Amino acid sequence: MAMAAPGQLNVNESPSWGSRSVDCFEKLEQIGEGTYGQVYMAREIKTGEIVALKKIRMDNEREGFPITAIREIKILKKLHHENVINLKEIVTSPDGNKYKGGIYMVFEYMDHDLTGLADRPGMRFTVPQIKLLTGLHYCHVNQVLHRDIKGVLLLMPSKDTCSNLLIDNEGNLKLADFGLARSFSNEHNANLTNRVITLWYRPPELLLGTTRYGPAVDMWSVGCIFAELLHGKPIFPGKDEPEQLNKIFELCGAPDEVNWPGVSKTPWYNQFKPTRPMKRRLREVFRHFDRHALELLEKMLTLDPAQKGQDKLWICTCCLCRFFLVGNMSRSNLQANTATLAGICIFHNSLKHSIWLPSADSSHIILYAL
Amino acid sequence: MDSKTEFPIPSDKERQAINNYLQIEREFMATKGFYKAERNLLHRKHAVATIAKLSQGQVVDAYVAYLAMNYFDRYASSTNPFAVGLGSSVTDTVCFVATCCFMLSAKMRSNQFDLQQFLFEKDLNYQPTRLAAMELSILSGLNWRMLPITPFYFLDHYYPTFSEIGGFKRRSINEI
Repeated sequence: MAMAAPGQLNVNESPSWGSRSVDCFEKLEQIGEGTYGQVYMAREIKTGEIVALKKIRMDNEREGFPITAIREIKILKKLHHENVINLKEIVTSPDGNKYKGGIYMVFEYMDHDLTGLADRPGMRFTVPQIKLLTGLHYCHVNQVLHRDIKGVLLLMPSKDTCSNLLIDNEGNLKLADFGLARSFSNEHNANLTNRVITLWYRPPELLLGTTRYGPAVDMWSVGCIFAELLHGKPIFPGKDEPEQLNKIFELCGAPDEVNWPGVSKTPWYNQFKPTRPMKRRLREVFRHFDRHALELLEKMLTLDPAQKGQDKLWICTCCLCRFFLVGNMSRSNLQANTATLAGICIFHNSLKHSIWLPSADSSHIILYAL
Repeated sequence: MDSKTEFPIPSDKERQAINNYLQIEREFMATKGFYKAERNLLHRKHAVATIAKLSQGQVVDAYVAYLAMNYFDRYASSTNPFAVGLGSSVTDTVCFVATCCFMLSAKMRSNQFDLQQFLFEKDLNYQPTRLAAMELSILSGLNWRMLPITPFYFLDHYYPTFSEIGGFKRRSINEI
Protein backbone atom coordinates (compact mmCIF):
# COMPACT_ATOMS: atom_id res chain seq x y z
CA MET A 1 0.00 0.00 0.00
CA ALA A 2 1.34 3.41 -0.89
CA MET A 3 2.31 5.50 2.05
CA ALA A 4 0.67 8.85 2.27
CA ALA A 5 2.78 11.33 4.15
CA PRO A 6 0.95 13.13 6.93
CA GLY A 7 -0.99 16.01 5.61
CA GLN A 8 -0.93 14.74 2.11
CA LEU A 9 -4.27 14.67 0.42
CA ASN A 10 -5.74 11.30 0.01
CA VAL A 11 -8.76 11.23 -2.21
CA ASN A 12 -9.88 8.06 -0.59
CA GLU A 13 -11.81 9.59 2.27
CA SER A 14 -12.00 6.50 4.40
CA PRO A 15 -9.16 4.21 3.63
CA SER A 16 -10.35 0.66 3.79
CA TRP A 17 -7.24 -0.67 5.29
CA GLY A 18 -6.12 -3.79 3.58
CA SER A 19 -9.44 -4.66 2.08
CA ARG A 20 -10.10 -5.13 -1.57
CA SER A 21 -13.17 -4.07 -3.43
CA VAL A 22 -16.05 -6.39 -4.08
CA ASP A 23 -15.50 -5.50 -7.71
CA CYS A 24 -12.77 -8.11 -7.73
CA PHE A 25 -15.58 -10.61 -7.75
CA GLU A 26 -18.29 -11.31 -10.24
CA LYS A 27 -21.56 -12.33 -8.64
CA LEU A 28 -22.96 -15.45 -10.25
CA GLU A 29 -26.12 -16.22 -8.35
CA GLN A 30 -27.74 -15.74 -5.03
CA ILE A 31 -27.52 -18.94 -3.06
CA GLY A 32 -29.00 -17.96 0.23
CA GLU A 33 -30.97 -15.31 1.93
CA GLY A 34 -32.00 -14.66 5.45
CA THR A 35 -32.34 -12.06 8.05
CA TYR A 36 -28.60 -11.61 7.95
CA GLY A 37 -28.55 -10.56 4.34
CA GLN A 38 -27.68 -12.38 1.19
CA VAL A 39 -25.16 -14.98 0.22
CA TYR A 40 -23.91 -15.12 -3.32
CA MET A 41 -21.90 -17.52 -5.31
CA ALA A 42 -19.24 -15.48 -7.03
CA ARG A 43 -16.13 -15.81 -9.10
CA GLU A 44 -12.94 -14.00 -8.37
CA ILE A 45 -12.22 -12.31 -11.63
CA LYS A 46 -8.46 -12.54 -11.47
CA THR A 47 -8.10 -16.15 -10.48
CA GLY A 48 -11.43 -17.58 -11.58
CA GLU A 49 -11.88 -19.11 -8.15
CA ILE A 50 -15.44 -19.71 -7.03
CA VAL A 51 -16.27 -18.27 -3.62
CA ALA A 52 -19.26 -17.49 -1.48
CA LEU A 53 -19.89 -13.85 -0.68
CA LYS A 54 -21.88 -13.06 2.40
CA LYS A 55 -23.12 -9.55 2.63
CA ILE A 56 -23.01 -8.03 6.07
CA ARG A 57 -26.24 -6.36 6.94
CA MET A 58 -25.33 -2.78 7.64
CA ASP A 59 -27.42 -0.55 9.74
CA ASN A 60 -25.05 2.34 10.01
CA GLU A 61 -27.54 4.57 11.68
CA ARG A 62 -28.09 2.27 14.59
CA GLU A 63 -24.71 1.11 15.69
CA GLY A 64 -22.13 1.81 13.05
CA PHE A 65 -20.21 -1.26 12.12
CA PRO A 66 -22.47 -4.05 13.41
CA ILE A 67 -21.28 -5.60 16.61
CA THR A 68 -22.49 -9.01 15.50
CA ALA A 69 -20.34 -8.80 12.43
CA ILE A 70 -17.36 -7.75 14.52
CA ARG A 71 -17.78 -10.83 16.67
CA GLU A 72 -18.39 -13.15 13.82
CA ILE A 73 -15.38 -12.07 11.86
CA LYS A 74 -13.19 -11.84 14.92
CA ILE A 75 -14.00 -15.43 15.76
CA LEU A 76 -13.76 -16.72 12.23
CA LYS A 77 -10.38 -15.09 11.93
CA LYS A 78 -9.22 -17.21 14.79
CA LEU A 79 -10.58 -20.46 13.49
CA HIS A 80 -8.28 -22.35 11.23
CA HIS A 81 -9.44 -25.82 10.90
CA GLU A 82 -10.02 -28.05 7.97
CA ASN A 83 -13.59 -28.53 9.07
CA VAL A 84 -14.44 -24.98 9.73
CA ILE A 85 -15.45 -22.78 6.90
CA ASN A 86 -12.56 -20.61 5.89
CA LEU A 87 -13.06 -16.87 5.89
CA LYS A 88 -10.77 -15.73 3.13
CA GLU A 89 -11.08 -12.01 3.40
CA ILE A 90 -13.32 -9.05 3.86
CA VAL A 91 -14.12 -6.95 0.86
CA THR A 92 -15.92 -3.69 0.68
CA SER A 93 -17.77 -1.93 -2.03
CA PRO A 94 -16.59 1.60 -2.45
CA ASP A 95 -19.19 4.32 -2.46
CA GLY A 96 -20.56 5.02 -5.84
CA ASN A 97 -20.67 1.53 -7.17
CA LYS A 98 -23.92 -0.30 -7.33
CA TYR A 99 -23.45 -2.25 -4.11
CA LYS A 100 -22.85 0.96 -2.28
CA GLY A 101 -21.36 0.82 1.15
CA GLY A 102 -21.63 -2.90 1.50
CA ILE A 103 -19.20 -5.13 3.32
CA TYR A 104 -18.83 -8.71 2.30
CA MET A 105 -17.23 -11.71 3.85
CA VAL A 106 -15.57 -13.97 1.34
CA PHE A 107 -15.75 -17.66 2.08
CA GLU A 108 -14.58 -20.68 0.25
CA TYR A 109 -17.42 -22.10 -1.76
CA MET A 110 -18.93 -25.37 -0.66
CA ASP A 111 -21.09 -27.43 -2.96
CA HIS A 112 -23.63 -28.88 -0.59
CA ASP A 113 -24.98 -28.72 2.85
CA LEU A 114 -25.81 -31.75 4.88
CA THR A 115 -29.51 -31.22 4.51
CA GLY A 116 -29.27 -31.29 0.79
CA LEU A 117 -27.30 -34.49 0.76
CA ALA A 118 -29.33 -36.24 3.39
CA ASP A 119 -32.51 -35.35 1.57
CA ARG A 120 -31.36 -36.83 -1.64
CA PRO A 121 -33.27 -40.04 -2.31
CA GLY A 122 -31.11 -43.10 -2.11
CA MET A 123 -28.41 -41.17 -0.39
CA ARG A 124 -27.15 -43.07 2.54
CA PHE A 125 -24.27 -42.19 4.73
CA THR A 126 -21.80 -44.95 5.20
CA VAL A 127 -20.14 -45.59 8.47
CA PRO A 128 -16.80 -44.20 7.36
CA GLN A 129 -18.50 -41.04 6.27
CA ILE A 130 -20.25 -40.71 9.53
CA LYS A 131 -17.06 -41.42 11.32
CA LEU A 132 -15.53 -38.68 9.36
CA LEU A 133 -18.23 -36.36 10.52
CA THR A 134 -18.13 -37.31 14.15
CA GLY A 135 -14.48 -38.08 14.30
CA LEU A 136 -13.54 -34.81 12.82
CA HIS A 137 -15.78 -32.94 15.09
CA TYR A 138 -14.48 -34.80 18.02
CA CYS A 139 -10.91 -34.02 17.18
CA HIS A 140 -11.95 -30.60 16.48
CA VAL A 141 -13.59 -30.12 19.75
CA ASN A 142 -10.86 -31.84 21.63
CA GLN A 143 -8.28 -29.80 19.96
CA VAL A 144 -10.20 -26.81 20.92
CA LEU A 145 -10.32 -27.96 24.46
CA HIS A 146 -6.64 -28.42 24.74
CA ARG A 147 -5.23 -25.96 22.37
CA ASP A 148 -4.88 -22.47 23.67
CA ILE A 149 -6.49 -20.20 26.14
CA LYS A 150 -8.65 -18.45 23.68
CA GLY A 151 -9.89 -21.72 22.35
CA VAL A 152 -12.74 -22.01 20.06
CA LEU A 153 -16.03 -23.08 18.89
CA LEU A 154 -19.51 -24.18 19.51
CA LEU A 155 -22.48 -23.80 17.34
CA MET A 156 -25.76 -22.54 18.60
CA PRO A 157 -28.97 -23.98 17.33
CA SER A 158 -29.88 -21.88 14.42
CA LYS A 159 -33.41 -21.01 13.68
CA ASP A 160 -35.12 -22.48 10.73
CA THR A 161 -32.37 -21.64 8.36
CA CYS A 162 -30.23 -23.84 6.30
CA SER A 163 -27.83 -26.50 7.25
CA ASN A 164 -24.52 -25.18 8.29
CA LEU A 165 -22.64 -28.29 7.62
CA LEU A 166 -21.30 -27.75 4.19
CA ILE A 167 -19.82 -30.45 2.08
CA ASP A 168 -17.89 -30.06 -1.12
CA ASN A 169 -17.86 -32.50 -3.98
CA GLU A 170 -14.82 -34.28 -2.61
CA GLY A 171 -16.72 -35.08 0.54
CA ASN A 172 -14.91 -32.63 2.76
CA LEU A 173 -17.08 -31.33 5.46
CA LYS A 174 -16.95 -27.83 6.82
CA LEU A 175 -18.78 -26.12 9.49
CA ALA A 176 -20.22 -22.81 8.54
CA ASP A 177 -22.78 -20.50 9.87
CA PHE A 178 -21.23 -18.45 12.54
CA GLY A 179 -23.36 -15.44 12.82
CA LEU A 180 -27.02 -15.71 13.26
CA ALA A 181 -28.43 -18.39 15.41
CA ARG A 182 -30.97 -18.47 18.12
CA SER A 183 -30.58 -16.95 21.46
CA PHE A 184 -30.16 -19.52 24.12
CA SER A 185 -31.96 -17.61 26.82
CA ASN A 186 -34.59 -19.38 28.87
CA GLU A 187 -37.56 -17.91 27.12
CA HIS A 188 -36.19 -18.97 23.83
CA ASN A 189 -35.59 -22.43 25.06
CA ALA A 190 -39.24 -22.85 25.67
CA ASN A 191 -40.02 -21.73 22.16
CA LEU A 192 -37.28 -23.76 20.73
CA THR A 193 -38.92 -26.95 21.82
CA ASN A 194 -42.14 -26.58 20.04
CA ARG A 195 -41.05 -24.68 17.07
CA VAL A 196 -37.72 -26.12 16.27
CA ILE A 197 -37.28 -29.53 17.69
CA THR A 198 -39.64 -31.58 15.68
CA LEU A 199 -41.38 -34.43 17.37
CA TRP A 200 -39.11 -37.14 16.02
CA TYR A 201 -36.08 -35.51 17.53
CA ARG A 202 -37.62 -34.34 20.75
CA PRO A 203 -36.03 -35.73 23.89
CA PRO A 204 -38.04 -37.64 26.50
CA GLU A 205 -37.68 -34.96 29.15
CA LEU A 206 -39.51 -32.51 26.94
CA LEU A 207 -42.10 -35.08 26.02
CA LEU A 208 -42.63 -35.61 29.73
CA GLY A 209 -43.34 -31.94 30.15
CA THR A 210 -40.14 -30.64 31.69
CA THR A 211 -39.85 -26.93 31.29
CA ARG A 212 -36.37 -26.48 32.65
CA TYR A 213 -33.76 -28.09 30.49
CA GLY A 214 -30.36 -27.51 29.08
CA PRO A 215 -28.17 -28.38 26.17
CA ALA A 216 -28.88 -32.05 26.79
CA VAL A 217 -31.95 -31.64 24.62
CA ASP A 218 -29.72 -31.02 21.66
CA MET A 219 -27.77 -34.08 22.41
CA TRP A 220 -30.82 -36.24 22.18
CA SER A 221 -31.82 -34.80 18.85
CA VAL A 222 -28.41 -35.36 17.50
CA GLY A 223 -28.44 -38.89 18.71
CA CYS A 224 -31.62 -39.39 16.73
CA ILE A 225 -30.18 -37.80 13.65
CA PHE A 226 -26.95 -39.64 13.98
CA ALA A 227 -28.75 -42.93 14.20
CA GLU A 228 -30.99 -41.90 11.34
CA LEU A 229 -28.08 -41.25 9.05
CA LEU A 230 -26.63 -44.64 9.82
CA HIS A 231 -29.92 -46.42 9.79
CA GLY A 232 -31.21 -44.82 6.65
CA LYS A 233 -34.51 -43.81 8.15
CA PRO A 234 -35.78 -42.00 11.21
CA ILE A 235 -35.51 -44.07 14.36
CA PHE A 236 -38.43 -42.57 16.28
CA PRO A 237 -41.06 -41.58 13.69
CA GLY A 238 -43.86 -40.94 16.15
CA LYS A 239 -47.21 -39.57 14.99
CA ASP A 240 -48.03 -37.87 18.24
CA GLU A 241 -46.49 -37.39 21.62
CA PRO A 242 -47.69 -40.61 23.29
CA GLU A 243 -46.53 -42.64 20.35
CA GLN A 244 -43.27 -40.77 20.28
CA LEU A 245 -42.60 -41.60 23.91
CA ASN A 246 -43.59 -45.16 23.35
CA LYS A 247 -41.15 -45.54 20.49
CA ILE A 248 -38.43 -44.08 22.64
CA PHE A 249 -39.20 -46.40 25.52
CA GLU A 250 -39.27 -49.39 23.22
CA LEU A 251 -35.75 -48.69 22.11
CA CYS A 252 -34.19 -47.06 25.10
CA GLY A 253 -36.07 -48.85 27.83
CA ALA A 254 -38.64 -47.51 30.19
CA PRO A 255 -37.52 -44.79 32.55
CA ASP A 256 -37.61 -45.42 36.25
CA GLU A 257 -36.10 -43.90 39.33
CA VAL A 258 -33.02 -46.07 38.88
CA ASN A 259 -31.97 -45.05 35.38
CA TRP A 260 -33.44 -41.58 35.62
CA PRO A 261 -33.73 -40.26 39.16
CA GLY A 262 -36.51 -37.74 39.36
CA VAL A 263 -38.40 -38.95 36.34
CA SER A 264 -41.51 -39.65 38.36
CA LYS A 265 -41.69 -35.97 39.24
CA THR A 266 -41.91 -34.81 35.66
CA PRO A 267 -45.32 -33.29 34.95
CA TRP A 268 -46.68 -35.90 32.61
CA TYR A 269 -44.93 -38.98 33.90
CA ASN A 270 -48.01 -40.58 35.37
CA GLN A 271 -49.94 -40.00 32.22
CA PHE A 272 -47.34 -41.47 29.94
CA LYS A 273 -45.53 -44.00 32.03
CA PRO A 274 -45.20 -47.34 30.35
CA THR A 275 -47.69 -49.95 31.36
CA ARG A 276 -45.31 -52.85 30.97
CA PRO A 277 -41.59 -53.15 31.66
CA MET A 278 -39.36 -52.43 28.70
CA LYS A 279 -35.71 -53.21 28.31
CA ARG A 280 -33.12 -51.07 26.61
CA ARG A 281 -32.61 -52.59 23.19
CA LEU A 282 -30.39 -50.02 21.61
CA ARG A 283 -27.36 -52.27 21.23
CA GLU A 284 -29.46 -55.08 19.96
CA VAL A 285 -31.37 -53.11 17.37
CA PHE A 286 -28.35 -51.28 16.05
CA ARG A 287 -25.87 -54.12 16.42
CA HIS A 288 -24.82 -53.70 12.80
CA PHE A 289 -23.52 -50.22 13.55
CA ASP A 290 -19.89 -49.49 13.92
CA ARG A 291 -18.73 -50.03 17.49
CA HIS A 292 -17.68 -46.43 18.01
CA ALA A 293 -20.83 -45.12 16.49
CA LEU A 294 -22.83 -47.29 18.80
CA GLU A 295 -20.92 -46.10 21.80
CA LEU A 296 -21.51 -42.51 20.93
CA LEU A 297 -25.13 -43.26 20.29
CA GLU A 298 -25.48 -44.94 23.67
CA LYS A 299 -24.24 -41.76 25.27
CA MET A 300 -26.39 -39.47 23.25
CA LEU A 301 -29.56 -41.43 23.71
CA THR A 302 -29.39 -41.61 27.48
CA LEU A 303 -32.79 -41.11 29.00
CA ASP A 304 -31.76 -39.09 32.03
CA PRO A 305 -30.69 -35.66 30.85
CA ALA A 306 -28.60 -35.16 33.97
CA GLN A 307 -26.40 -38.12 33.15
CA LYS A 308 -25.42 -36.55 29.91
CA GLY A 309 -23.86 -33.63 31.66
CA GLN A 310 -21.08 -35.02 33.72
CA ASP A 311 -17.86 -33.99 32.12
CA LYS A 312 -16.32 -31.83 29.54
CA LEU A 313 -16.57 -34.43 26.93
CA TRP A 314 -20.21 -33.96 27.22
CA ILE A 315 -19.88 -30.34 26.43
CA CYS A 316 -17.92 -31.29 23.39
CA THR A 317 -20.57 -33.69 22.43
CA CYS A 318 -23.07 -30.94 22.73
CA CYS A 319 -21.07 -28.92 20.33
CA LEU A 320 -21.05 -31.83 18.06
CA CYS A 321 -24.71 -32.20 18.61
CA ARG A 322 -25.45 -28.75 17.57
CA PHE A 323 -23.51 -29.20 14.42
CA PHE A 324 -25.62 -32.12 13.49
CA LEU A 325 -28.75 -30.73 14.88
CA VAL A 326 -28.76 -27.58 12.92
CA GLY A 327 -27.72 -29.44 9.88
CA ASN A 328 -30.61 -31.76 9.99
CA MET A 329 -33.40 -30.34 11.97
CA SER A 330 -34.11 -27.84 9.37
CA ARG A 331 -34.48 -30.33 6.59
CA SER A 332 -38.18 -29.80 6.26
CA ASN A 333 -37.95 -26.18 5.34
CA LEU A 334 -34.68 -26.10 3.64
CA GLN A 335 -33.03 -26.06 0.35
CA ALA A 336 -29.63 -27.36 -0.43
CA ASN A 337 -26.58 -25.42 -1.30
CA THR A 338 -26.85 -22.60 1.08
CA ALA A 339 -23.83 -21.12 2.57
CA THR A 340 -25.31 -19.36 5.48
CA LEU A 341 -23.65 -18.56 8.69
CA ALA A 342 -24.96 -19.23 12.16
CA GLY A 343 -23.91 -18.70 15.71
CA ILE A 344 -21.00 -19.71 17.73
CA CYS A 345 -19.46 -19.10 20.95
CA ILE A 346 -15.97 -19.26 22.04
CA PHE A 347 -15.39 -22.24 24.13
CA HIS A 348 -12.97 -21.56 26.86
CA ASN A 349 -11.46 -24.52 28.54
CA SER A 350 -12.18 -23.24 31.94
CA LEU A 351 -15.78 -22.26 31.87
CA LYS A 352 -15.64 -20.48 35.18
CA HIS A 353 -13.61 -17.77 33.56
CA SER A 354 -16.12 -17.17 30.87
CA ILE A 355 -19.22 -15.16 30.46
CA TRP A 356 -22.17 -15.62 28.21
CA LEU A 357 -23.31 -12.60 26.35
CA PRO A 358 -26.23 -12.37 24.03
CA SER A 359 -25.44 -10.54 20.87
CA ALA A 360 -26.82 -7.12 20.24
CA ASP A 361 -29.83 -8.35 18.34
CA SER A 362 -30.17 -11.47 20.50
CA SER A 363 -29.66 -13.53 17.46
CA HIS A 364 -26.95 -15.53 19.10
CA ILE A 365 -24.84 -15.69 22.15
CA ILE A 366 -21.17 -15.73 22.52
CA LEU A 367 -19.22 -17.29 25.28
CA TYR A 368 -16.43 -14.97 26.10
CA ALA A 369 -13.21 -16.24 27.41
CA LEU A 370 -12.06 -13.80 29.97
CA MET B 1 -0.06 -18.02 56.68
CA ASP B 2 -2.39 -15.15 56.01
CA SER B 3 -0.81 -14.26 52.75
CA LYS B 4 -1.12 -17.84 51.62
CA THR B 5 -4.84 -17.84 51.98
CA GLU B 6 -5.05 -14.53 50.25
CA PHE B 7 -2.95 -15.73 47.34
CA PRO B 8 -3.56 -19.37 46.72
CA ILE B 9 -0.86 -21.23 44.87
CA PRO B 10 -1.71 -21.12 41.18
CA SER B 11 -2.85 -24.31 39.57
CA ASP B 12 -0.97 -25.76 36.63
CA LYS B 13 -3.60 -24.46 34.34
CA GLU B 14 -3.28 -20.94 35.65
CA ARG B 15 0.47 -21.07 35.35
CA GLN B 16 0.16 -22.26 31.82
CA ALA B 17 -2.27 -19.50 31.06
CA ILE B 18 0.11 -16.88 32.38
CA ASN B 19 2.89 -18.30 30.25
CA ASN B 20 0.72 -18.14 27.21
CA TYR B 21 -0.26 -14.60 28.02
CA LEU B 22 3.38 -13.63 28.37
CA GLN B 23 4.15 -15.13 25.03
CA ILE B 24 1.41 -13.43 23.10
CA GLU B 25 1.24 -10.16 24.97
CA ARG B 26 3.65 -8.60 22.50
CA GLU B 27 1.16 -9.15 19.71
CA PHE B 28 -1.19 -6.76 21.43
CA MET B 29 1.23 -3.94 21.92
CA ALA B 30 2.20 -1.06 19.74
CA THR B 31 5.28 -1.70 17.63
CA LYS B 32 8.69 -1.20 19.16
CA GLY B 33 9.80 2.39 19.18
CA PHE B 34 6.26 3.65 18.77
CA TYR B 35 6.37 5.63 21.98
CA LYS B 36 9.66 7.26 21.04
CA ALA B 37 8.60 9.04 17.89
CA GLU B 38 7.68 12.65 18.56
CA ARG B 39 4.79 12.59 16.11
CA ASN B 40 3.26 9.50 17.63
CA LEU B 41 3.35 11.06 21.06
CA LEU B 42 1.54 14.10 19.77
CA HIS B 43 -1.12 11.98 18.09
CA ARG B 44 -1.40 9.97 21.24
CA LYS B 45 -2.01 13.07 23.29
CA HIS B 46 -4.89 14.03 21.03
CA ALA B 47 -6.25 10.55 21.19
CA VAL B 48 -6.06 10.40 24.97
CA ALA B 49 -7.83 13.74 25.18
CA THR B 50 -10.54 12.57 22.79
CA ILE B 51 -11.08 9.29 24.55
CA ALA B 52 -11.02 10.87 27.98
CA LYS B 53 -13.68 13.30 26.85
CA LEU B 54 -15.78 10.51 25.41
CA SER B 55 -15.59 8.43 28.56
CA GLN B 56 -16.81 11.27 30.69
CA GLY B 57 -20.28 10.83 32.04
CA GLN B 58 -20.46 7.49 30.36
CA VAL B 59 -21.75 4.65 32.47
CA VAL B 60 -19.14 2.33 31.11
CA ASP B 61 -16.37 0.52 32.88
CA ALA B 62 -12.96 2.12 32.91
CA TYR B 63 -11.62 -0.70 30.78
CA VAL B 64 -13.44 0.70 27.75
CA ALA B 65 -11.19 3.71 27.63
CA TYR B 66 -8.14 1.58 28.26
CA LEU B 67 -9.10 -0.80 25.51
CA ALA B 68 -9.76 2.08 23.16
CA MET B 69 -6.23 3.36 23.75
CA ASN B 70 -4.86 -0.10 23.13
CA TYR B 71 -6.68 -0.17 19.79
CA PHE B 72 -5.47 3.29 19.01
CA ASP B 73 -1.83 2.56 19.72
CA ARG B 74 -1.89 -0.61 17.72
CA TYR B 75 -3.70 0.99 14.84
CA ALA B 76 -1.41 3.97 14.89
CA SER B 77 1.55 1.60 14.66
CA SER B 78 0.20 0.21 11.43
CA THR B 79 0.94 1.47 7.98
CA ASN B 80 -0.46 4.78 6.94
CA PRO B 81 -2.95 5.06 9.75
CA PHE B 82 -4.02 8.63 9.34
CA ALA B 83 -4.68 9.08 5.68
CA VAL B 84 -6.23 12.46 5.59
CA GLY B 85 -9.49 13.10 3.84
CA LEU B 86 -10.43 16.19 1.95
CA GLY B 87 -10.87 19.22 4.11
CA SER B 88 -9.58 17.80 7.35
CA SER B 89 -6.31 17.93 9.20
CA VAL B 90 -4.21 15.17 10.64
CA THR B 91 -5.38 16.14 14.11
CA ASP B 92 -8.99 15.83 13.04
CA THR B 93 -8.28 12.43 11.61
CA VAL B 94 -6.50 11.35 14.77
CA CYS B 95 -9.50 12.40 16.83
CA PHE B 96 -11.78 10.65 14.40
CA VAL B 97 -9.76 7.45 14.65
CA ALA B 98 -9.74 7.73 18.44
CA THR B 99 -13.52 8.12 18.43
CA CYS B 100 -13.90 4.99 16.35
CA CYS B 101 -11.54 3.13 18.68
CA PHE B 102 -13.73 4.18 21.54
CA MET B 103 -16.86 3.01 19.74
CA LEU B 104 -15.33 -0.34 19.00
CA SER B 105 -14.14 -0.79 22.52
CA ALA B 106 -17.54 0.17 23.90
CA LYS B 107 -19.08 -2.42 21.61
CA MET B 108 -16.67 -5.07 22.73
CA ARG B 109 -17.45 -4.42 26.36
CA SER B 110 -21.19 -4.13 26.24
CA ASN B 111 -24.12 -5.31 24.25
CA GLN B 112 -25.90 -2.10 23.74
CA PHE B 113 -24.35 0.61 21.77
CA ASP B 114 -26.61 3.23 20.34
CA LEU B 115 -24.79 5.21 17.74
CA GLN B 116 -27.35 7.97 17.43
CA GLN B 117 -27.47 8.51 21.14
CA PHE B 118 -23.71 8.40 21.37
CA LEU B 119 -23.28 11.01 18.66
CA PHE B 120 -25.97 13.16 20.18
CA GLU B 121 -24.65 13.04 23.72
CA LYS B 122 -21.11 13.70 22.69
CA ASP B 123 -22.19 16.38 20.28
CA LEU B 124 -20.38 14.71 17.42
CA ASN B 125 -21.12 15.30 13.84
CA TYR B 126 -19.68 12.36 11.95
CA GLN B 127 -21.32 10.57 9.07
CA PRO B 128 -22.42 7.08 10.14
CA THR B 129 -21.09 5.56 6.93
CA ARG B 130 -17.76 7.25 7.43
CA LEU B 131 -17.61 5.94 11.00
CA ALA B 132 -18.42 2.44 9.89
CA ALA B 133 -15.76 2.57 7.21
CA MET B 134 -13.17 3.72 9.70
CA GLU B 135 -14.25 1.07 12.16
CA LEU B 136 -13.71 -1.55 9.50
CA SER B 137 -10.37 -0.05 8.71
CA ILE B 138 -9.32 -0.24 12.35
CA LEU B 139 -10.68 -3.76 12.74
CA SER B 140 -8.72 -5.02 9.80
CA GLY B 141 -5.71 -2.97 10.84
CA LEU B 142 -5.76 -4.83 14.13
CA ASN B 143 -6.36 -8.04 12.25
CA TRP B 144 -9.64 -8.40 14.14
CA ARG B 145 -7.88 -9.21 17.35
CA MET B 146 -10.07 -7.24 19.64
CA LEU B 147 -9.48 -8.92 22.98
CA PRO B 148 -5.91 -7.97 23.70
CA ILE B 149 -3.80 -9.32 26.50
CA THR B 150 -3.28 -6.35 28.74
CA PRO B 151 -1.42 -5.84 32.01
CA PHE B 152 -4.67 -6.51 33.85
CA TYR B 153 -4.39 -10.15 32.90
CA PHE B 154 -1.27 -10.44 35.00
CA LEU B 155 -2.59 -8.84 38.15
CA ASP B 156 -3.76 -12.03 39.76
CA HIS B 157 -0.43 -13.58 39.06
CA TYR B 158 1.60 -10.74 40.49
CA TYR B 159 -0.39 -9.96 43.61
CA PRO B 160 1.94 -12.07 45.75
CA THR B 161 4.94 -10.28 44.28
CA PHE B 162 3.42 -6.89 44.99
CA SER B 163 2.79 -7.86 48.53
CA GLU B 164 6.39 -9.02 48.95
CA ILE B 165 7.76 -5.80 47.53
CA GLY B 166 5.75 -3.29 49.40
CA GLY B 167 3.19 -5.07 51.46
CA PHE B 168 0.50 -4.01 49.02
CA LYS B 169 -2.85 -5.51 49.65
CA ARG B 170 -5.04 -6.77 46.89
CA ARG B 171 -7.59 -4.09 47.57
CA SER B 172 -5.22 -1.20 47.22
CA ILE B 173 -3.99 -2.58 43.94
CA ASN B 174 -7.50 -2.94 42.65
CA GLU B 175 -8.16 0.64 43.55
CA ILE B 176 -5.37 1.76 41.26
